[in-house]
Amino acid sequence: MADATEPTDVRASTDEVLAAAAARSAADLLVAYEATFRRHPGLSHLGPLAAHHAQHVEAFAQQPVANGRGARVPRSPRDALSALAAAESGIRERRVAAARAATSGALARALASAAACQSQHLVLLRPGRP
Amino acid sequence: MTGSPGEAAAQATLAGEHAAVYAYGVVGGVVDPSGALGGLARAGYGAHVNRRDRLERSLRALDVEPVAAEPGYALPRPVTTEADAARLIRRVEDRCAVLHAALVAASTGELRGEAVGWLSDAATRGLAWGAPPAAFPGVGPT
Repeated sequence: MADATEPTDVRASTDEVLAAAAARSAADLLVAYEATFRRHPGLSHLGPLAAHHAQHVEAFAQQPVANGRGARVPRSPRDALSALAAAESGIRERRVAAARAATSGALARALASAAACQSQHLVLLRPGRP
Repeated sequence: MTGSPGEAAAQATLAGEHAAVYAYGVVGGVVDPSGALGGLARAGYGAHVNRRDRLERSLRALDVEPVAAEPGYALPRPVTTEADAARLIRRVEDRCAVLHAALVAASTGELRGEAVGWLSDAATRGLAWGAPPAAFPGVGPT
């Protein structure tokens, strides 16, 4: 991805900003899933989705990433699923925009692929999915 | 983009779309047309035909002759049941996802923007046919 040894290269530093934002948002989503599982153990079957976000943190982080920021988990499991879907959807939109904007083709591909993973998550988070 | 990596990736994606249109045609003859897979097969066929046409238009606009469909395609294994059909489509969508991801990397501007959407489309169609979700569809090991 972006070359951290060339901070004077404006284009490279833009890619670094995009990658860092993707790492941070993945960390936020990871924390949101973990908090959801603590409050609603019945939703723990969604663990593989949280694991994807851990992989996204690893892929996009250029340096240690601060722990994600948690949000309040709604009282009902159905609302908790909706909250996760809303968080996924907003971050997915930003990743799509970042994939279009990235200078590096490799970073664009990684961002677009992470967004595709989130598109799958949005299907799996629909109410009524087992 | 003549002779460019973007052109090569667009042609590879188009070849993949030709194969996908063929595969969905085969599958359409096997699945129950009134069942859930029948609906998925029709939607998938239409989506791949549209994407094929879109890529052909993009290439022609650049004075590039789009690659044609092959005269025939060999299936990895016979498709006689709905399970065979689902297996074939999972392979096809996975292959399309790899091609779309490569196109994202090799292109810029409007075409990249479209490829970004196509990658999500391939990932969710594969999921609908029973593929497991992946951290990096079209890129990494699942």
